[in-house]
Amino acid sequence: MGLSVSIAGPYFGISFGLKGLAVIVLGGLGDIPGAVLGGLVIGLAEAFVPSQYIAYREAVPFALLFIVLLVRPQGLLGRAVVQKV
Amino acid sequence: MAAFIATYGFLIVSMVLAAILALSLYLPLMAGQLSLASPGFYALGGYIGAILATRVFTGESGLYPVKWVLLEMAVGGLASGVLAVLVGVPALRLRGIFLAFATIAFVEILRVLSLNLDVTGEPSGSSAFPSPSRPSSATCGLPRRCSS
Repeated sequence: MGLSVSIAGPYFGISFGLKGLAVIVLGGLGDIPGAVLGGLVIGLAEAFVPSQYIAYREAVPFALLFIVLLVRPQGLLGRAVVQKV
Repeated sequence: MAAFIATYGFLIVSMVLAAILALSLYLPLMAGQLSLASPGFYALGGYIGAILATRVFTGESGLYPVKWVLLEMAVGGLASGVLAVLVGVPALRLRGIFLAFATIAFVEILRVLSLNLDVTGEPSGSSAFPSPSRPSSATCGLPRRCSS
């Protein structure tokens, strides 16, 4: 990663960590096939951003995560948790 | 006293701002839910104040009127409140860790927007703020900016 921009810094991992968090929640928490699917969906969505909007690419995974959480709060493949009261 | 404020005023203001931000995170936590969205509203209010001061309210020369500062605060608060309703109504469905993730996602979206939009000045932000107090070498609010 540091080689691709020819500098390195202590904060380089943060954007990847947050994106990974978005991936696991998007696919469904605790669901391994869901994590794989979430990674594919987020990676492809980021890759298909048109080049004139390339500056906003970092926001795409989080926008997707927000929308998916509002439509399916348990994630793409997650099982709906029945709350016992 | 003037020397004390000149030296530590910026620090004290930063401390109070951080304390208010921390309280705004603690309020939903007291209700049992971790909502991390308030840095987004904090950022929106700050950006609105900055944009109004540097680009909109630039009519008068000389001292910046205090009433405009109060107007900026009111506009920033209202805009943040409207955004909070827009985000909060759909987020009412979420609980626990999913609410935390959704609000982190919201703050990240806002961060990327503020780093890239023209109106926010991109990563370098806004500069040359007008001052409501009389700027002089003795009572300059920001020691770091005044030295240059």
